[in-house]
Amino acid sequence: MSATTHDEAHHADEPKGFTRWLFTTNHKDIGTMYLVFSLTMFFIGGMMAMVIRGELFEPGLQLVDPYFFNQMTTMHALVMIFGAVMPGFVGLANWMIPLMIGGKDMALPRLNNWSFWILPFAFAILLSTLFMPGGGPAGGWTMYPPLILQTGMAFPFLIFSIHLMGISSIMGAINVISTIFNMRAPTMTLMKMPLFVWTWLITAYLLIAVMPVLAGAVTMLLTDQYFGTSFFNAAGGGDPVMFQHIFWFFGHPEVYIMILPAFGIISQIIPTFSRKPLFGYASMVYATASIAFLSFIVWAHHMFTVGMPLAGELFFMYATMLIAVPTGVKVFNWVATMWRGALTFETPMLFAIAFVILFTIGGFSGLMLAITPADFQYHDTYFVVAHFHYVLVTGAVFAIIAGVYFWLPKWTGHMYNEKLAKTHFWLSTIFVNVLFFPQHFLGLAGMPRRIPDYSTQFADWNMVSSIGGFAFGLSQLLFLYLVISSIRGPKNATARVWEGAKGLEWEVPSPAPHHTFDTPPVVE
Amino acid sequence: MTDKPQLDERTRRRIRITAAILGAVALLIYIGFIVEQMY
Repeated sequence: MSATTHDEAHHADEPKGFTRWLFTTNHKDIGTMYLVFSLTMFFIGGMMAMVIRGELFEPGLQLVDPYFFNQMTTMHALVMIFGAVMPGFVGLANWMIPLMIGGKDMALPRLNNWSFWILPFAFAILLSTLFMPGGGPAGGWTMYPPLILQTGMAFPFLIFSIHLMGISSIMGAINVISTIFNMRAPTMTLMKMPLFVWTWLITAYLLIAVMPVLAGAVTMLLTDQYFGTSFFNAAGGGDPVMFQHIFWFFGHPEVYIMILPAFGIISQIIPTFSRKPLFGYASMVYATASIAFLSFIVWAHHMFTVGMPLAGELFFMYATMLIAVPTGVKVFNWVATMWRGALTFETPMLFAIAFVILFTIGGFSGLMLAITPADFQYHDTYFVVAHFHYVLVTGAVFAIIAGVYFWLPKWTGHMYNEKLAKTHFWLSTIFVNVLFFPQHFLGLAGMPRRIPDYSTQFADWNMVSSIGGFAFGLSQLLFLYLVISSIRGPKNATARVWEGAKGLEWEVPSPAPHHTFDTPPVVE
Repeated sequence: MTDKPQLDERTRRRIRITAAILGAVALLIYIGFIVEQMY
């Protein structure tokens, strides 16, 4: 009998070097590629943020001309949303969903490979526009016409890259749903699934429902620009405000696409380090589904100031506020899970607790923005910038970082340096607040967003915010170092890694073998 | 070059049907939104 295990046998004839990554159909390899891509985009988008904060360090025009500044705000958003946050979550889904449900791999491995490999090309196209005559797109990531139609040579490249990103996301979502419904271990019933799998299942439905809407919107922009249609051209009988409706019909569920998987990660981490089962599992599932449903009927809260009928404004205001109910259920359940738990504060737990507190701050400022008459004051100010960065940085990004620290020993087999990781946590948490909290004050004082220069009355808080930004950006180099040293470090992690860890992913050795669950595991 | 998991025919068929339905829905939404805007 051969002593070679299936895994070793696989590795013997496995392609090496670049072809391994180019042709791989393994969910772990593809998950790794997504995560590396996401981290790369996080730093590219971060550099753009540094340009923005550098220019805003003092009033007046210092570093860049206003047109380039606008390119930076537009590209920063596109790169961070479509390049860093979404692929980050897809990477985690690729790695963890098959492991968590006891599946051999994703259901559609070749589609999985294709979903990933579209992305580098999409972003190469998008980023190449910065070097084109006329520069990159500068009309904001929301691409409102008629402004976005003034984009020069970059316009068709922008539209094409958005289509590619959409195709990648839709294929990824089809894969996630197909996997969860068809690849679960026979004893893994739906209501036994880990919360991360549940939140991703619901997120995947959101993606399939709204990414085609974005694709449709940008296709119509393209035909308005080049084929003589007038979907959004008032002179030809179209309506530019209709674009805003269509865009935000995509855009608001998109916000939840970027936060529901974060809820799932936090729902895995908090029970582990509280050494208690998650409080209110079923209510967490229903709350996630409720948030997903409500996300479809709140889009016009992004555009209260366009001039809507009063009944419309009231509907969107109340519907938006309603989202606080299932979100409150989630926050209550996380706190109740920690209540009287045997808590320890390893780095994933620290990031998870920071998530609960800081995401809630972002949620509260969201409630303020939901109040229609107040929104007329806040609209297009730095208050909005502060709000969505609390939701997306201390929300989505902190959750991805928490997830990486949580599962990194499982992926690499190496336990990262806890002391350095805690240093990374404290630097990130302190400076992210120095960066974004003053932006609330700036917004309430009336500073508009997307401007390279501002009145001297805003100088002090802008300087504080920029200092926070530079320090937060530099702190992330520590994260990069920890990830690289974990990949290169000795294999010293146990299978379970964390004392309180429960679930199928902790049953396999660390690092997780190339192939797992050839025989379906039995779920308790 | 691929090391896809070996699945039984029933599972493979279910995966194909799931993916086909979801893909068709996505395509329908895409085309539907554009066509709806034409009128």
